[in-house]
Amino acid sequence: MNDGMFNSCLNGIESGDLETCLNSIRMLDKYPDPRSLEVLKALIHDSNPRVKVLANSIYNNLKNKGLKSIGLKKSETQREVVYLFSNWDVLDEVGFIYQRNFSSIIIKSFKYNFFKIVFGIVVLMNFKSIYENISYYDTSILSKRYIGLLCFIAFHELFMRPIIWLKIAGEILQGFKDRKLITIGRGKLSKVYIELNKVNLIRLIFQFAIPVCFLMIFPFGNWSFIGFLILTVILLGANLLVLPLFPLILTDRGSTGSTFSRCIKMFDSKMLKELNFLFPTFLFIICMFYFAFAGGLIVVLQFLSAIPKYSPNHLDQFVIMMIIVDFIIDPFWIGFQLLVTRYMLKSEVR
Amino acid sequence: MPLDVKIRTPENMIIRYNLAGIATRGMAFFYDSLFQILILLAVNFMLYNFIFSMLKESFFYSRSAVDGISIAVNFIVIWFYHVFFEVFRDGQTPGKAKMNIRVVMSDGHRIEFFPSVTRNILRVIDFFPFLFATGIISLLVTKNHQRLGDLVAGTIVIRDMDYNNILDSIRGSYS
Repeated sequence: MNDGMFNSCLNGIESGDLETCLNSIRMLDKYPDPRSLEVLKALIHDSNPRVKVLANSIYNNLKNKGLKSIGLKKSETQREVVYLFSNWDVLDEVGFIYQRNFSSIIIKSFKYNFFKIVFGIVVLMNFKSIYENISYYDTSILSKRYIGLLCFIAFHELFMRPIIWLKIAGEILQGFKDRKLITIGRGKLSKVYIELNKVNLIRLIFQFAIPVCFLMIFPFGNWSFIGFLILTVILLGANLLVLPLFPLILTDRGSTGSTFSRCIKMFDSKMLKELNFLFPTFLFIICMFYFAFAGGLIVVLQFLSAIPKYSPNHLDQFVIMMIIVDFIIDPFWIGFQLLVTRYMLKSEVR
Repeated sequence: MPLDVKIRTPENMIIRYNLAGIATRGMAFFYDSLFQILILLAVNFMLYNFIFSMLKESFFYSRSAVDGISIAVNFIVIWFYHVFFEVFRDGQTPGKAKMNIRVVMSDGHRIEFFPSVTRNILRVIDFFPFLFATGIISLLVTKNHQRLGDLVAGTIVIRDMDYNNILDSIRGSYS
């Protein structure tokens, strides 16, 4: 069937007159064409039962005759550049990058966060006995109740976290549609470990000093939801300090300048201007994710009677849950930081 | 690069829609929730301060009937707000319109009444156990970035293209 005949058939089908439509469908059977299959496939869902039945029978007939629809893969062009117009598009993109390589990212994140998850579960399982042994009113941050937890978190954040970040970064880079980045993701990123460790120390000071001072003045027991939200924002916000090191991963080059000067340079006014409200928005979204997953886990475990329903302090439970669910949400951070860094390095990385 | 969904038309052409992401959808829901709260406040204020107080002197007035009407109105606003706007405003609630996204059927057609009801009733399951945790996981796992309600109703949420922006970008890239 030539293009003219095919077009007249399409016009007949869309004419609105039932008889003309049916005749045009019969024409498709008389002069088989690969394009007809697509038309018939769409007409099978037509509201008119006569059209539906006829289209279905002719479709099956043509299929039985061995007619195949045209594969369009060759004619498709792959898009190389996509414009992200707003901050929301950037934040959406983080989710898309995560989604593209979801299973590998989650498996790797689970594998490297295993100790932390086990620690969280052990604390949860012994929650009742911990509360029986420790004074109900002893809610100071420097009490026996918290000191072990703080030491574990400090060790984990300082030595384990950089390894986890680099491993997850490798997986996330493979979710970008850029061959150069995929190759970098497949390679070894361990050369950045020492640098990352140094900056992590600064991050830890921020992450610990501020909340500990805060908690010494206002113990957990007296806290409201808003207070806890502020603490979460401080803890998560400190992660931004690691951002200046991401160019090292993306550009696949050695370290230049000291780590500290790099940090200061990265946070000059230009950088803050470019980030404008992107970073606070992302921080808000990530906080909501933590609340959703940690809160969700509490609800489910309470429903299953795995944890006490009326514990003296819900916030303790919440912190443990945050530690456990961190392996799902942490890749969002890495994805965000890689994407933002990529923007900053427009000239170097496409 | 945003995720997209490709729909092949009978003319063997491929139409590509960019899918709306997790942040845009979350923000649209946030705006819609605000609008819903405002509507509920306005409706209840009107009911109790004007309509019921006017009827108070009449023969038909009864306190339980007043509360019943109020509950019914609140029920409609809470459960049919999204359905109403999605069906009558071509897949766009005010929040979605603000964020430039819309709901369509997965074959690209306009959303209909029953799919809209289904996707909005199942919002409760997506919320479970807390703050849409199920919905977030579903968005990350499914190919077309769909929450459970979307999967059951056969709908997707796409971005509305802002053509002025695109043209500006194209001009910018050639200049």
